[in-house]
Amino acid sequence: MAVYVLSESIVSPLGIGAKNNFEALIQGQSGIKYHYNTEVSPYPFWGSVVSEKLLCKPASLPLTDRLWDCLSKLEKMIMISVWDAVSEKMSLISHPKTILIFTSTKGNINLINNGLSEDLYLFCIAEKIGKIFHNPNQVLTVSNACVSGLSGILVGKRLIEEQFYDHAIIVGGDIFSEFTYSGFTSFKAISPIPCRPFDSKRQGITLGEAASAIVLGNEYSEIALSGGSSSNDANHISGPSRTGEGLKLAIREALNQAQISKNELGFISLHGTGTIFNDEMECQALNGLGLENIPAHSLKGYYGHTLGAAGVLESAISIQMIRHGKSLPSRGFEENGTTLSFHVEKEAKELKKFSILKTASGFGGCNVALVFEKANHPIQVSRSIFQKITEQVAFDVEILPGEVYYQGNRIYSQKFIGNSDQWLTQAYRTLTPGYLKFFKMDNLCKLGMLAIELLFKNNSIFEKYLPSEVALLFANRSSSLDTDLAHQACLNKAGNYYPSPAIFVYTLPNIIMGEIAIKYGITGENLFLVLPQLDEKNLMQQVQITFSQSSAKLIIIGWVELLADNFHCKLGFIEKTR
Amino acid sequence: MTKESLIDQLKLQIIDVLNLDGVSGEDIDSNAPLFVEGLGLDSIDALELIVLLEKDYGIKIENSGDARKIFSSVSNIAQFILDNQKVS
Repeated sequence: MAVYVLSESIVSPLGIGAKNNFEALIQGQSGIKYHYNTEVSPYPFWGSVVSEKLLCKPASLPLTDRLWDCLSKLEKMIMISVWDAVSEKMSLISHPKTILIFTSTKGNINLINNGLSEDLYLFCIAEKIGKIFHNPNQVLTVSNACVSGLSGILVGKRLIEEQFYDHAIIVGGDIFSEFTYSGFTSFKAISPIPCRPFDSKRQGITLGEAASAIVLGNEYSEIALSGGSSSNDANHISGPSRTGEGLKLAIREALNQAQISKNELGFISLHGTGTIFNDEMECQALNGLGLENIPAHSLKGYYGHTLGAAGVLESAISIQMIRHGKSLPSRGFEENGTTLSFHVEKEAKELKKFSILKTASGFGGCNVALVFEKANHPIQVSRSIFQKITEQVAFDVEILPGEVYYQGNRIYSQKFIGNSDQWLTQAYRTLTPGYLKFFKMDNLCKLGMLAIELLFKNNSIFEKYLPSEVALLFANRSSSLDTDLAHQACLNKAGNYYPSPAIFVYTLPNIIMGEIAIKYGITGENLFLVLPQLDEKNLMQQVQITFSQSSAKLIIIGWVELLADNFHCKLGFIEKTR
Repeated sequence: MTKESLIDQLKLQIIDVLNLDGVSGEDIDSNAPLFVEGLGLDSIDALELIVLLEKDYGIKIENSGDARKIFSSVSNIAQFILDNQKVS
């Protein structure tokens, strides 16, 4: 079943609508401006910020004015882009064979000081989208660091290919916040000038906010989404692999799936954040694959790094490039600043070949690559049918406050007196041979690491497979809220605040997959979902589509939920051939 | 403060700030490398040490590229602090 892009939309500082945004970019406009806002930082900063004036309720959107005013800035941006993407067609968005997918790293994180409310839960934002647009299915939430947007599109593609749904609407959004700005500042990653991806004078990232939506479907349309893959570097939780191994793997798989050779690829829209490490990694990956002569750019010089929206936003622009037959230059680039050079575009040009590779990489070592191409006629896809999985997953390991179970038997019991850190550390010391990095992790990762070490303690199943054949599928309810509160507490300390980089790096739930990937050398597909509860139906759908549409042969599935003194972990695995 | 007692104090602070569970002050060799070998610290640890220097010693390191040289051993960090700390 081939998957096509039916429409796309963008809400950004440059305006509403994909076409409007594209035309602004062709004219050389940028959303990045110098701002002074003490709610974000005591000092002025460069950033790409959406004006509230842009966020009026579209007249036909099915919500009262009063309820519209109750929505957060992020929620307004999301609703506008979704409504614009479906061209106000309620019948499409409310259809039972349409799946909605929301992608975000931090959601309404700017509201964290108002106390713990449902506003802070990513799945609650997702539910709002479903409710407002009357969609009967559970809205999926993907929170996978900076690859969230591309991950969400990949999930939509696979769900349609496997015929679970006819349409998928993926909407990504993230806002500019003190939380995120301070965190990247502690990483010394914020550039004092507008970011200059790949350039010799680059000094780091510029943050941005945006929302963007893409509609995928199985009916023929001008643009096809013909390939996609995700991978893990298995190197370091915040630093990419020096040689770009994970990114190379994802790109290779995506191009293979799209059946596009190097000679047929027209353009590459990279992640290009403007940091020394990221940009260097990408030049290594491209050169390693022989793609250094394909014209390429980063869009972050126009929009900044929009985190959970980036994958969708930048895909929407790539799609516009194909529609208009024009490529966009890499804003901020003048002179090559990476060890190996590659073809960074400096001017807008005619697109010679109508296929674009879009990539992203993120904290936790994740990478995703997608291929969009012009389809002059419907694409025939011949892929062997993968037999539908009927069984349930057996979660061999279960951890609750006070108890640890393996295959249904209680193997550890210790009274829980309310301190998760203490209890998990003690359980870890008792039950496992120990891994030094454990003690640096946040509580969520400690929970997941304890579980995975027990799962593989007497079981070397993953050694049967190549590292790229092992996939990670994880989910929880609170995302990284437990650690988010710790990071915010650092910021709220009276007097000067000192955000801690070691805390900030854990304010993304997918880091647990990164830690597992590093420890066991796992480089295959990885996905983190945020759901209201452990949801076997949705997880088994993901297992099905991953076995069918990727190289995965073993999937490790985990529900790893922790917030303060409440936690629950269930971990298991499933093999493709049983 | 003498260099010796600063080194002892630093060791305890490093263990605390980097969550080096199970490591005591005596375990850390004052002149041994901290990164890659020795304690095997990584880039996030380097950033945490930059925060430590600013927060507890009032010394700002603008360029994280200089960090590796300054943090090459506990003894080196101590010397850097003594050289750069403003006399109050």
